[in-house]
Amino acid sequence: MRDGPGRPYRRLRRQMLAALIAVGLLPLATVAGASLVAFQREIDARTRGGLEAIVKNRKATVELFLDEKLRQLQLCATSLPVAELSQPGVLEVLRREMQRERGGIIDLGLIGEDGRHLAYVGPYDLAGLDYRGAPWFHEVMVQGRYESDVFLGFRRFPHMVMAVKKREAGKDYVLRATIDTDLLSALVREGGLESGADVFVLNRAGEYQTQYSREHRLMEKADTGPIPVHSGVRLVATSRAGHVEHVATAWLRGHAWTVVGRQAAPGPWAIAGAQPTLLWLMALLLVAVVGLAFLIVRHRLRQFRGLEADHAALLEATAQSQKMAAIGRMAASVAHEINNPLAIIDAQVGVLTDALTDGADPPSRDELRDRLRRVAGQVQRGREVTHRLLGFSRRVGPSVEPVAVEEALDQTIGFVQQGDTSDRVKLVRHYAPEVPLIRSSLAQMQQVFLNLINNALDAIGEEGEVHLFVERSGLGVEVRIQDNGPGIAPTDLNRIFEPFFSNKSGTKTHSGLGLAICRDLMRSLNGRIDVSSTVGKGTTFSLWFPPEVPGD
Amino acid sequence: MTTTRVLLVDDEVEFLEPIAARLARRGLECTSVTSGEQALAALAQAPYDCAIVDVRMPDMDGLELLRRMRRMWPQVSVILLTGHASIELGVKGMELGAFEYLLKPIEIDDLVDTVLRAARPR
Amino acid sequence: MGRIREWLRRRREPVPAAGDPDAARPRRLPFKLQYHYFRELLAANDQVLELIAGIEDALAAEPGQPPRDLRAAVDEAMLAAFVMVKNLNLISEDRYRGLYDALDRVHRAVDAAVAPSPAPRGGPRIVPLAAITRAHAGLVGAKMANLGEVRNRLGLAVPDGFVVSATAFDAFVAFNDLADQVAACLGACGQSPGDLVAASAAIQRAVGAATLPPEVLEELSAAATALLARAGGRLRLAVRSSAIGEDSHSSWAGQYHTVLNVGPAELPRSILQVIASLYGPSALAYRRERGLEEEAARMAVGCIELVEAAAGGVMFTRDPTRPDAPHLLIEAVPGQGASAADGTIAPDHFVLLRGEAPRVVERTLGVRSHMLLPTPAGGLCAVPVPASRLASPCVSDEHLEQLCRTGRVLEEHFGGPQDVEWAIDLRGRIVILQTRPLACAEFQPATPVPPELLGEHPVLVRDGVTACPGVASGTVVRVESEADLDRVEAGAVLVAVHSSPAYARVMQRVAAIVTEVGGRTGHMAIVARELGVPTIVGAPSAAALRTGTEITVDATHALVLAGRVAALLGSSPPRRTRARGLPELEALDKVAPLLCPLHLTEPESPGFQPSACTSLHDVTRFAHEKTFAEMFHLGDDVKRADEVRAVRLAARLPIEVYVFDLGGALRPAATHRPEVTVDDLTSAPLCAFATGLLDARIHWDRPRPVSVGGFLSVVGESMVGPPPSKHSLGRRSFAMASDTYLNFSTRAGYHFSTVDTYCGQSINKNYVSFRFVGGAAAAERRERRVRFVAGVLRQLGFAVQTHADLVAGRLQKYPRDRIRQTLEIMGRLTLCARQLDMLMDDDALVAGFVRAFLAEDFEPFA
Repeated sequence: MRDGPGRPYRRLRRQMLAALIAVGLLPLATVAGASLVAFQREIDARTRGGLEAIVKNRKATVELFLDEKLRQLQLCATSLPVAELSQPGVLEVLRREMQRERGGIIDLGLIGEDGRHLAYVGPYDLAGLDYRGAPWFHEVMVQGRYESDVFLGFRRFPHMVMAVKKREAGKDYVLRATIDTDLLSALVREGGLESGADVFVLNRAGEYQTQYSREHRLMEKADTGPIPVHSGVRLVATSRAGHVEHVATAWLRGHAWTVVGRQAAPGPWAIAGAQPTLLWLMALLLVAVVGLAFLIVRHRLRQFRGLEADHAALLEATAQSQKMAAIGRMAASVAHEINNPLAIIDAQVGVLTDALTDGADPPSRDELRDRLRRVAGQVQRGREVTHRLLGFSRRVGPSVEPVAVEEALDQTIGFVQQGDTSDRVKLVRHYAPEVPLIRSSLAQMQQVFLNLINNALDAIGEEGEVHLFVERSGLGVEVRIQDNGPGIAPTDLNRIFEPFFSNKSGTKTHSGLGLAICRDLMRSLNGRIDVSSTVGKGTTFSLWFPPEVPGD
Repeated sequence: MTTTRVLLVDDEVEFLEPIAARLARRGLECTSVTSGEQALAALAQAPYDCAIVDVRMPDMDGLELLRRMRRMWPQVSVILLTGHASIELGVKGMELGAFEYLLKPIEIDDLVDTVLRAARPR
Repeated sequence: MGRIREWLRRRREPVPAAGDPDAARPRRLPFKLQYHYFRELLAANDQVLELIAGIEDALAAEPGQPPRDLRAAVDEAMLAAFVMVKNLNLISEDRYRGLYDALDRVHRAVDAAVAPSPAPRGGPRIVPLAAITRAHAGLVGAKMANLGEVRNRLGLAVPDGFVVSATAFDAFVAFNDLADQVAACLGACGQSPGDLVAASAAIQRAVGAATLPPEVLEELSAAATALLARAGGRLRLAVRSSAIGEDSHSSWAGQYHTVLNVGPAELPRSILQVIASLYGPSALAYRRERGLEEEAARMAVGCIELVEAAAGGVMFTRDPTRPDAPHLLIEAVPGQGASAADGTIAPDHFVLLRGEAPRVVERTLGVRSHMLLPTPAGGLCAVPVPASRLASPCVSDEHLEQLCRTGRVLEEHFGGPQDVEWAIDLRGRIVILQTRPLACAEFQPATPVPPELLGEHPVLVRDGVTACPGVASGTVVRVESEADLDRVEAGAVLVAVHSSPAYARVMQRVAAIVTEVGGRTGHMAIVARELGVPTIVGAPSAAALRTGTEITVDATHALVLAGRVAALLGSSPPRRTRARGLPELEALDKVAPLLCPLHLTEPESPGFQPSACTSLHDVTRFAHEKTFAEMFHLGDDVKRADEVRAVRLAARLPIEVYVFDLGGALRPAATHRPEVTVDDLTSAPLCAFATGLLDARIHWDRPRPVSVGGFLSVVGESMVGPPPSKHSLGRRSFAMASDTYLNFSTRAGYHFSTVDTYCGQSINKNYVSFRFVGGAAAAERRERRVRFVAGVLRQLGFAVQTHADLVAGRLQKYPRDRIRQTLEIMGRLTLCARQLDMLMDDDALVAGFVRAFLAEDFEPFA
């Protein structure tokens, strides 16, 4: 009791634990998963929103800065005549003035139509330069103003040039300023500082215009790939070096530059940082579920053991009572079959008891032996009755006995010839010597013979011969029944074992079931039946019987 | 008339032989036959006081034998002895005039008692 | 049988020496031998009375309580009665041969009742439908017998065909040795549904592996060939179950298999399939629940031509839930009607007014997508319903009206509402496929559900149809497949999409059934009605019912309410008791009138004859009475030298007592006197018993203060039962006594009591046995007296058994003095208990009487 149920219980325990924990954890995991996804989405959305705002904001800032410089330049150009501008010292005043407003102006020059400086103020010596061949000079003459990309130029540091055209007395002049883009970089960088986003400006060619980290090499091509021209702020998620990151872009300065904000998408662990209490709660629930599962399983198993014991007792009682009922019912019908052998045993035992009690003439050894043998015979008879009726012994088929196949066949021929005494029909026997005895059902075997011989006789009609062969084949016995009748057409040959198929014709009523029955019988005898036939020559049925049919 | 003469009729030879031996040992003179026809033949040849007849026999069964015996030898009492307890056969047998209806297996002393009672002339 | 042997063994007495020539052979049996027979007879009498009482017990038992083995009890009683009759004739030298006839009569009647029509086995193996009428139900099963009746007596169109009869089934079972296999499989089968399924599978495998016996195959082939010829060379068959006993008592609706569209070559296999369905799990469970014997389950198989149907379905000639209404119900599906019955296709539903001119009053079109048509290869296949037929009913009004008229013809002919399966063939002809009695609910006036209940409990389903009225509540279990059935626990409400006959398997344990699809003419609905399971079908909104919800199914109003509506539940009639249909109980009902009632009560009347004996009780009563007369030569003045005669006991007693001296019971001087006194008695037990009888404290001669109720009860029972005899209160009683033995039996009025005792030196042989039977007055009063006697006996240390109004007690292995003491009390008890039931108006009094008696306070008994 202790050992027996232990194993199954251990397994049951494992299964119950697994099931309970699974059941407990499933909702937990679902909730955790769902909130993870929700949080991630939320954070993601926030990141994207933030990035969009930064880019928008930086775009405005950069625009504002450049617009301001441009406006100041334009103001200078329009408000003062060339004569005054070209006076020494005036530009210096203007530069200082402009420098004061956010600074960033490095130099300032007034250039005449001929591309030569009329006046210049700045750290460089540019007085002798002729700008007439420079594309920007040409552009400013045509467009009225000009903004360059950032370049290193003659000065070997990042700067950009801004120029406006001034027309006075039929002559064109250009007011040009060099702007320190360090300031621009600082302005752009300012936006990304707190969110951790990487913010920079690219020109149309995708080259960095601002720089605040080592990654940004001014004037070099950025790894963002080509950015299509679009309006407003565009947000895309891209994958860079295996990480998902969000990229927000906005074009400015009339599609000359792009502000790019770039920020990695938050990973799952971002949430851990965001919601530490949630994590703790999950862990706590996990522990609770597992603990509870253990407790429940322990309790249930204890109950199961009790129930199982009750159930086993109940089953046993039920089985017993059913058995008794069945035996009782059968016993009633068996009783009279038992009474006769009992009466004989009683009488035989009585004779011996009489003789022994009397003492006058004790039974001889032979008498004793004979009577005991008879008693045993009756006991055997009784046993057969009880086995038959009580033992539920399953008899699969009819009784199986040792059979001499030749004799069985001879007996069958006997039946046939009783019915048809005319001697015109010739049955020729070819029995091999030493055909083994087999264990089979004589009755079923003869039924097959009878059917096949009858078929053969029908086939040969008035004159003809039926040859019967019996020989050993393998461990079993083969019987062939061969006629020289008209034979069976090849098309019919594989149908003859179907029920209701018949190729006989004539007045005799028959069903076409004969061969179907033969096949079934042979099957139940574990044997085989085969047929071969040639039209015009005759038909041969081959039967093979196994050495033994499993029976009772 | 010193001995009671009993005719034993049963299709089971195995049963007849020892029972006859036991009855003989108790002072009864027994003749055994295995069918109704043989029984009638035996009755025609010698007088009997009583017959012990099995009910179930092939050909002529015990009840038929009883019927004929009541007609031809009414002085011979018939004890029916069978392994098959059936009210129907019992009633029929008693109605036909059997002396007793007994079940196999039977205690030999009971059988002797019944034979002796049955053998009293009517 | 054991009893007979015991009885034979008990007869041991000295026999006159054999062959003693001098022994004067008495003309009669020697007295001692007579006495031996007499005692044997008394013992048999006790046995019969006990068995009769036991049978009365079983009759009064709670329905559903399985009666003990009736057959064995009856056999035992019969054998005991046979011994009585035989011994009476032995004692009387065959003066009562007529009693053999009486016994035989009773025996035959009882045999016929106990073994209910052991269906006349025999008859042809194959029977053409043209030769069948209702009378052949035992051979071809009720289904085919009815079909034959419809064809041959009513001349209605039915398909051509023949039946493979129960005889063929028996041959099949014998040929394949199936009976043992079935018994073995079921013997090993436990109680759980799973076990039953396994057993069923095993049996069905065995059947599938079996073969039809050659002679059946031969005849089958001949019949099929003939049918083929009549059908004009093309033959498709429907192979239908027709179990013996099916539809006669219980409608085994849908338990069995039908194979449609079978070609001749597959016929043997299809027949085996149908036979195998006799052992399907539902069928096995059904028989188990009904207590039907497995050995008696036999199956005939109908092989009838398949009707190629334009439409088909089921017709109920009455509304089974409202049999009083003038309605006739028809459910129809296009194509083969098979699915109308199994609930997989929603049928068109029609209600007709059954009258001279039938009229369709209601039509509901089923929503369906497919219909079943036979395929050339055999079997059926589902094909889409042509769009043109989707929107219109699948049967025309003319056909419906014609069906209705046919239904009325069938109902009239078969004498009750019918459940008819029909088809309309491609030529528009109505063909009857099957008809059987319709199980109808008893009429229940539908009281509307009180609205206040509905407010409290939301209505979840109200779009269904009542299949079986009734109210039940329980927890929903949704069943999606048959495998789910094992999960259905007792008291659950089974909710399913389709109705299915497979649910019969669990119907005993479910509280109610609700299905989304299905008609009330389906097989499941029929079985539900038969079992009285509240059932709603065709309720699409039941789809919302979820497993585990507690609901109340008010099938009477086709409502499902949330929660448990106690008020509704109370109003529902009790669920039908299953026991009513149990064959064991039915047999008991039939057998009891042949065994129990006592018609012969007055020995003096000219009607006291063997020929007047109509029950076993009569036979034994007659034998008992006459045995006493024979034994004691009452009224016989001829004296014989060897005889022992009864002598009268002169004493102040309410009964006349005759004493029979078996040796040493009387003083030698008294033995030849016609009368003796108590002082002449030398029998120890008789002396003690007489002392009790003569106890002066019991004033039996005072007028009794009979209570009015008690008096009326006796009068009432007398008018119902046998009339009281003028002798009944003063009849003779007999004491057979020796120095140590006494058998005292007294029959006074309806009472009969016996004291049988041995009172000697040997403790181991000593015993007192007391039996008390009968009495006028209503059953409950008798019962009170039984409790009184049993109570006293128990207090005295007897082992007591009671059956109906019989009390038997036995006390043994006590010293002589204790036995004597007890016998004295028995004497008083015999007097006191005589008419006690007249006084017992109240259950509470019983204990009081017991106390008073044992305290020797005899005032209450006066």
